[in-house]
Amino acid sequence: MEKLKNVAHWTDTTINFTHRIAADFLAQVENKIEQGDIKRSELAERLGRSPGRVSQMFNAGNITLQSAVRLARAACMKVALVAYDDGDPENQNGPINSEIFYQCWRQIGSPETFFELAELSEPIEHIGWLHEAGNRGVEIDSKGFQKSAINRAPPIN
Amino acid sequence: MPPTLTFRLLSKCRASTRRGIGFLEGHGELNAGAIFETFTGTVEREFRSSMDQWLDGANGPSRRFHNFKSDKDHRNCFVFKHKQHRLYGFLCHPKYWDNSFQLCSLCIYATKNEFESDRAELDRVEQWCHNLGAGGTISRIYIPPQPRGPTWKN
Repeated sequence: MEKLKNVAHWTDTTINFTHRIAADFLAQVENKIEQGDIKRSELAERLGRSPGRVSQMFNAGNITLQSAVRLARAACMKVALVAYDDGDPENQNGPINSEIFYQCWRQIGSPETFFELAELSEPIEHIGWLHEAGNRGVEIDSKGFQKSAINRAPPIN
Repeated sequence: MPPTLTFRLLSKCRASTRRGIGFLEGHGELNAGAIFETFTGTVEREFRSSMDQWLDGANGPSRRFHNFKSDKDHRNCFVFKHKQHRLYGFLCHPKYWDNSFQLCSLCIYATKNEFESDRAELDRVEQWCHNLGAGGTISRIYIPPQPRGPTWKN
């Protein structure tokens, strides 16, 4: 059997890593378009650019932090630049997909402050206990958010 | 003499227990692997980014990659896309002991300028999907887990 261990991930250079995380970000916007939440023509109108120029913005090699923010805002979204430690200092596994961070944030109840995060984290630990004891999923609804600590996020489309 | 088919996994990517990507090679029309190796710069980065996304469990955006589930003649086919470049392959479950593992076996490279995928390429990929030699070659790279013996001594 072929082994992939101990081989550097293709994102071991800064340019490749940057391209990958830009592609992940663009995929999030593209998914929003494909799901019908926003049309490309609307995006072009909000950006004040022709559809052709907007298509150029979907090139991961061209994107800057400013253009990412412009694109996300035009798609009624926001952007976070997230630093994290995934226990992979040699980057043998590449970056974590930005959509995973987003789905995790939504699953926990979309906290906007550290206070909300603390409030939301506590009952989820409690649900974990219920889950282990009852071997079943339990859902709670708090602050208008439908949350589940057990159910996985819907598949990414 | 029949061609000697080989299969190699995509290198420099995250190892996953749920999805894998590799190249079926050893026949004149199985050119996806050889062409992929020639990709450099943005083209390589675009394909590898899309492959990473699929390996991570994403099922879109379809502008980058998609299956052909709605096409009854090409249900097993899959494609990674960037501009005019197409890497066609098929999806399979090569681990008989783990049906949750899905492999994308890339077979054919083509350039494409029309909106619709070329059905001729998909037909050829579908044939490779059902090729017994290809199936055997792919499954041989996955070793079934050894049955566990007792963990205690009597």
